[in-house]
Amino acid sequence: MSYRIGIDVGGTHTDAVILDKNYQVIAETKCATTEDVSAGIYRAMREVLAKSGVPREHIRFAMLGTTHCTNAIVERKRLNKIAIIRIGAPATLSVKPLIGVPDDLRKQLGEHVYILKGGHEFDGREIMPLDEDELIRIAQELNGQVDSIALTSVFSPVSKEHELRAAEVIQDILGKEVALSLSHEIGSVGLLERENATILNAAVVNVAKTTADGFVRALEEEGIHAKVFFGQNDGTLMSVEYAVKYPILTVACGPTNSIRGASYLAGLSNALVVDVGGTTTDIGVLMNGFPRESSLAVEIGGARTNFRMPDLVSIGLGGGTIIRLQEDGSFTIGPDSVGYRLSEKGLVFGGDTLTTTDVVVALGKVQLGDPSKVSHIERSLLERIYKRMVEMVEVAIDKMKTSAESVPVILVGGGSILLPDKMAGASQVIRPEHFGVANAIGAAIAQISGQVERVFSLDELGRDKTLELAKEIAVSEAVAAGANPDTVEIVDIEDVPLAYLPGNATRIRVKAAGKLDATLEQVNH
Amino acid sequence: MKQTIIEQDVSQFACGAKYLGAGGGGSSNILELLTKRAIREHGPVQLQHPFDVKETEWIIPVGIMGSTTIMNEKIPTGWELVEVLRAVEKEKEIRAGAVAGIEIAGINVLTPILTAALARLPVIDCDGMGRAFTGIHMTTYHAFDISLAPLVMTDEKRKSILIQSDNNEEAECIARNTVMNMGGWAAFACYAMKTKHMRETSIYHTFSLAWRLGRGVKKAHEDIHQVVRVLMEELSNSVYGTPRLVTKGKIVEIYCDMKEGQLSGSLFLEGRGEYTAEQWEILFCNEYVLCKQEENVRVMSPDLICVLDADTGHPVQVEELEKNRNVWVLGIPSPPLVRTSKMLEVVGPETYGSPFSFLPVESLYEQMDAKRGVGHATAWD
Repeated sequence: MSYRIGIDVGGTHTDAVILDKNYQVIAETKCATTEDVSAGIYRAMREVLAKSGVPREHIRFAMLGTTHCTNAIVERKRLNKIAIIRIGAPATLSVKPLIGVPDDLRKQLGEHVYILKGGHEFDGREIMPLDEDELIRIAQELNGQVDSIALTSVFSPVSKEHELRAAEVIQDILGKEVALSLSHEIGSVGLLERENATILNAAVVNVAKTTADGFVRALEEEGIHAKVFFGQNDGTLMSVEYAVKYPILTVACGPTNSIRGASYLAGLSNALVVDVGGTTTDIGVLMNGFPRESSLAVEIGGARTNFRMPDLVSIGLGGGTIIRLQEDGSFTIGPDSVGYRLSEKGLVFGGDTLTTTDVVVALGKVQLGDPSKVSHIERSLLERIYKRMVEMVEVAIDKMKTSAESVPVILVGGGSILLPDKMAGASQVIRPEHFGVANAIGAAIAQISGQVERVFSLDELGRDKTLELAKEIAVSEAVAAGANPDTVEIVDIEDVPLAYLPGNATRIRVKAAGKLDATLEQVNH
Repeated sequence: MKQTIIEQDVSQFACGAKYLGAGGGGSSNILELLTKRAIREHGPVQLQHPFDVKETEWIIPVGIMGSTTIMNEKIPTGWELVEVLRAVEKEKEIRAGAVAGIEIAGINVLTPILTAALARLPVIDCDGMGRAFTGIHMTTYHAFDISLAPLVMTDEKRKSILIQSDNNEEAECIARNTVMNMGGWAAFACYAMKTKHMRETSIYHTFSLAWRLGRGVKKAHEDIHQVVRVLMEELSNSVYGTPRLVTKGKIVEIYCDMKEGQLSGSLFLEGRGEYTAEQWEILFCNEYVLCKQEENVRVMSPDLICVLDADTGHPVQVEELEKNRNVWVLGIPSPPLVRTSKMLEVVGPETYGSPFSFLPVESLYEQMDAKRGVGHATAWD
């Protein structure tokens, strides 16, 4: 039997699970997230191993969803010394790299900035030949100055030629010691956002390397020689080798893991996922097994990027949310919460604060603590409060759901005991087993994906053939990344024709994903 | 009236003009960056009433055409606009005394300001569309027989193309096909005319209106009720007239295709709130063209159909449409000059293949209210 370990770092808890080959949960654990994130990860890993009793040598895979890179960017700590090279002059000259990025970050990252000639048109024609002489001069100037370089060329999602050539030229001079981040590996069309993401990536390669080395070492100390993967923000995995080159893709994988975990536990691929924590409830949409993504630009550490994040609505209702009663019989719910101190502050636990949990206990909906501590509260008032709590969630459900028809709702998270089995807008309410660690399960079962996003001209092949071509590229990328070809499916297609342009230019994005290739398991036997 | 445009005003213009785009015009982030920088480096820009400029001065409208998605990747420097301005001056052997707008939406509210900052000229507070339209012939300038040519287009390499034609529609057609070869966008200048003609053919005060809308909307802090209140107040006090709240609903379906290089299709709304159970369809062709409740047309081009995100009050452009969004729809009367017969020949509902002839949103609602026997329906909540 082979096993896998999944770990997901959240704001308050670091959760870990061990699954067997058939994705059955063997053991689960929850630890407090530590300020030094690694310590919490190691503790959770050791705890879950001890609980499971699984022989160490049978653990073949380890999946980690972590916040190391996000924290480093937000705190501006442990960042690489980087250079920024943009290939695109004479276009783009008036808008310098790092524009709109907060001053402190720009100061740290903007010491070596260059824009040189080159780049491509949206249809792949070269705008200008790459200015290699200038590039050689820059590389010589940077010798010994930096340890990581961000390279972005105009329309590299369409033609990566200039970025690849520039990387060769730089490596010839600076050697392999300097990390190179190429923008076409990171983002899609939209120069400034893709460039920002590439710059942030270049800035966290050291952090990623330290994290990955530390995790692999901690596993080995436990006698585990597993293949290690990192979770990406789209709910799929990347190998540790790729993750240390493109660590920015690990940012914000948490919410995705939780939605994917809920999907697996409930056995559904289309539903709403309601994740009730101690302070907030996050509601996301599960579409074809993946979270529906938001179309809004995402800021990381104050820098605008074009990453896609799950489309979530967050409301101030959790297990520890504080309820205040007014003299006139009215009341307010939250938005503040006693958080993780519920077990000392809540009335049923002998505390002094009326919380949402006390309300459900008083109404006899949940057995928890000492119900006599809340028996003095008038029942009709409790019922009004409860009704409002449920309404808050129902309003959010209505906002997120796809059609007027009711949809299945999956409840996960420790606070989900607050909610009833029937809600407006929900065709059924599902409370899967192991709902408290859905996020770690999501990390453990994550798939391998491949993606393509480009502006295609439909004039050459026509729409159908172009879409086929895009699908083929996405599938082959997924297989190249380690997905089992037999399990690869297209999970997302988006084609947006560009307005105000003849010639049928269309932005197409296709994502394919499949299970980890089983032959990888054998290799590790 | 706003008279001096400083760096801090730029976001106001950009924000306000989005509400006049009728779903078109593209995203203006890059142009905001460029315009702010130009004003910071070259000083403030004067915004002048058409009557503040001498009758004999030449005025040249400028803009950028093409795809803003491409512009967000291959970013202009701004000097392309000065290049086309100078090229038209050279061609006509004139000297421009000011620049003006072609369309007061999306990026093209900023392109004249950017040009003015770089070329040290004033901007005239008027434009030729009063909203966004797809073609550069869809202007009041064209409707009053101003020649589009000489039209000059320039790309980021400063490669220029001069188009000469007596026929404005033909000039637009040549220009549109040239944009592709130029790599997806081009700066352009055309409709050079004297102040005297500008006074007769343009829609006045659209720049200052955009600025006022932007100022009000920014204060509304993404509260849709406040945003709509601002739109009602400012537009009622303008050449447009009082907007109508048409419906509130959720986008349940979008059909979208390229037809002859146009982003065409329709979106379907399912009414929400007091509009529950109503079925709405909005047809678009780069911009929103026609809005109907089942078979009853409620707003038609050139009146502005304004789709707002119910959560933020932000206008939703055709390129940004996505299912599941909750939206409010407003119908904004177009300015009287845009409703003249020659203008309707190029922007009326028939030009988009619709069997209907143009009826103003006000009359459509009067008819409906009469049918329902409602005296004065409240315009909005």
